[in-house]
Amino acid sequence: MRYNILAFMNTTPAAQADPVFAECSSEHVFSQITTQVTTPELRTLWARMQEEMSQQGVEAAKSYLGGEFTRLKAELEQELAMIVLE
Amino acid sequence: MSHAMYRIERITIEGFRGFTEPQTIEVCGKNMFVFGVNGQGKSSIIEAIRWGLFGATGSQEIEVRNTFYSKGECAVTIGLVSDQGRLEVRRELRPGTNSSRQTIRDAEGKSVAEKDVLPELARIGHQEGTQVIFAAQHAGGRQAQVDITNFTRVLCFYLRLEKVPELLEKLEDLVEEREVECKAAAQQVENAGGKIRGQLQMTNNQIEEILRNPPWGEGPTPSGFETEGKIKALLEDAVATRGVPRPKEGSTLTEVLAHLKRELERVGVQKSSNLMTQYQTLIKQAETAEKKLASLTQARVNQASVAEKVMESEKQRDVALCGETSEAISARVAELERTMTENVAKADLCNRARSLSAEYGWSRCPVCGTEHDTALTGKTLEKRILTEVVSLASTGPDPTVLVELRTRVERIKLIEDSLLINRRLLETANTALDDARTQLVNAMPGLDVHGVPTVVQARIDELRRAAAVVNGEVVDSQGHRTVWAKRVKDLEQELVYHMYRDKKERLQHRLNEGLEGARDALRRYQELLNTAARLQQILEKAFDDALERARPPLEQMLTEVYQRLTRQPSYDLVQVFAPPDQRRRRELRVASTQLPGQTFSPSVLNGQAAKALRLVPYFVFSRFQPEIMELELLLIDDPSESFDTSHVSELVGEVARAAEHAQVFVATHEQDKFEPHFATYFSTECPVTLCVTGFSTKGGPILARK
Repeated sequence: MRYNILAFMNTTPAAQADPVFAECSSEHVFSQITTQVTTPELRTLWARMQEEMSQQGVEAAKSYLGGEFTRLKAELEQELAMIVLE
Repeated sequence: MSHAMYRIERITIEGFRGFTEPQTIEVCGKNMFVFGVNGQGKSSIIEAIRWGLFGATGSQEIEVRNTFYSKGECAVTIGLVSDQGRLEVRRELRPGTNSSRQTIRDAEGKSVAEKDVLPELARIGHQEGTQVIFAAQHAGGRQAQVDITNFTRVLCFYLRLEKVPELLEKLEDLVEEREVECKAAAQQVENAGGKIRGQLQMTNNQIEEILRNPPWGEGPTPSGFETEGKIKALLEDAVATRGVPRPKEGSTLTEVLAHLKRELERVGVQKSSNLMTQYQTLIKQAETAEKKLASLTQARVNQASVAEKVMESEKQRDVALCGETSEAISARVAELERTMTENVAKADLCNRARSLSAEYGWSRCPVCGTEHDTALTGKTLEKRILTEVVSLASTGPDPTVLVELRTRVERIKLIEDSLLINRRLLETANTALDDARTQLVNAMPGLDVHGVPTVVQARIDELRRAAAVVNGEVVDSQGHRTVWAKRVKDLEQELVYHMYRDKKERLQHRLNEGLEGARDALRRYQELLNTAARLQQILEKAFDDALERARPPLEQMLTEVYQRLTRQPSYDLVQVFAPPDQRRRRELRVASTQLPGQTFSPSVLNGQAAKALRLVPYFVFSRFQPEIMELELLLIDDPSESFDTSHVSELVGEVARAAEHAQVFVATHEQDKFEPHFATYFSTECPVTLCVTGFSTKGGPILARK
């Protein structure tokens, strides 16, 4: 496949001229991920991370995931504390 | 053709690099070429635009100040214009500060936020973007502020793919960090299991220790219910027989035993103390009575002895008096003594008369004065005196009688003195006897002790026996305390046994089932970790797929521009290469149609081609999304440094193509090579050309608009 580079450079932006570039954006990749996460746990995690990202950006998704880990760690520590409490 | 929203209308520069006093350059929204020889300030104009919009980082910030400018001010003001209005972007580095401050004002002079009026520009920040300063002149080792060193970042930015690697990096960091934490947590769970097993072993040992000498004796092991019954029975027994108060309502069995232990000890000690006091009282009474009895006996002996002495003295006195009284005898002695004294005096008088007679010669009577014969008179008188003296001696009392009487009187006196003393002693002995009797009576109230030592002794013996009985009770009391203490201790041990047995059951439960909760929590943690890692893998693949989709058209675009700029005969292709050992990284490489399947580092190119290759991505990428850029600029400093004359035409052509969507600022010293091509490539609107015709330290660059 050859691309008529001069043609689209002189007329329209690449992303609009060629659908290949349109499918290279973060939004497109993220929407692809949505179709690829098939297991329930992946689906729910990704949905929640996407929601965080849509509202407050990538850092928020990390914060959410980090918070989940922290919560589970706290649960684990609580269980451990109950076990060794004698 | 799409245009960005804003274009630069004018630039005012003061105290920035080569500039001193404020100079304003009118651009009128057009493209601009700045011509001039090197070192006179044309690059300062390109850099002023870059700094005014984005600032600089670290030490580069203070390097922009012109230290020769006496006012110390450093500021760049960029006027922007669009069909929606005007903005004024001003960045200044105030004297004495080392960081700049940017302000943006709208047409009314009101301060506005960059993110509100120029959101894309705010997003680009200091990083790679449409703006290029291709600093061919690295004066003082200064690096190009923006270049394509991080090709992957530039690539993702222009593809608007940057969120994916950003998320991937964060996800990767998080997963790595949490993997370590997960391993540590798994170790914690393992350690908890080990700790429980250790506790279980210790508890088993403690149970075995109790069973070696069971407190319940030889019988079967009591149940917890039975032990509870024993404790309650012990409590009732202690309350009934030892007077122990009941524990407070709702006390646990352990508390009941502790209460019993404490109270039994208290009651036992109290009872022993009372008995001991009683014993000591009895002993003391007996000892006191014995002492008093001994005192009484001694007083009686003393009294009897003294009485005997009195009687003896009275007998002796009677014998000495011999029926007389001592007064009569004394009178006789006095009479005899008087008679004898008189006789002696008479005899003495006679003797003196005789002496006087002898001395005076007796011629005349000394009494009547009659004269007489002295010798005769003397002899007669002497004779008569001698007769008188003899008469006195023969008729006077017998001196031996007087001596005897005197001796008798003295003896009687001695006997009476002794009698007097003995009578006084007897009085004292009688008083002592009465005192001793009184003390004994006081020491043994209610007992008739008058003259009956045997009764007293019997009472003392009775006290001794009572004391012995009490002493026995003391010993018994101590024995009781020991017995009760053992009963409590045995039940305590029994209770401890049940506690250990319960603890053992709990530990076994925890070991078998309780750990499951921790394992579940750990499993959930691991599942989330696995899910995050899986998501990272999916994202990684999607990211690679996206770049792979973009790669063929990108490579074709890059190759087209590259070929126009360099006309390389051998390495005629540009490829986007993914290093196998560096995740998510992409780099530009060259290839040859003559060597299909191979790529080469740009280092194989000559200097001109290699540097041209660095410009290629900007010419390509800057066309991608101009419609969303509120301000799109292409800033190029001395681009022809790496090009031979034959390729300047192509370079101007590329710049002209970029100028179709971006506002272009080019600084070059090769005015003669660039200007001839303007008519060819800038047919619709000729760019503004500005010439730097001179430079002075005080006045800065001398600008002339052509």
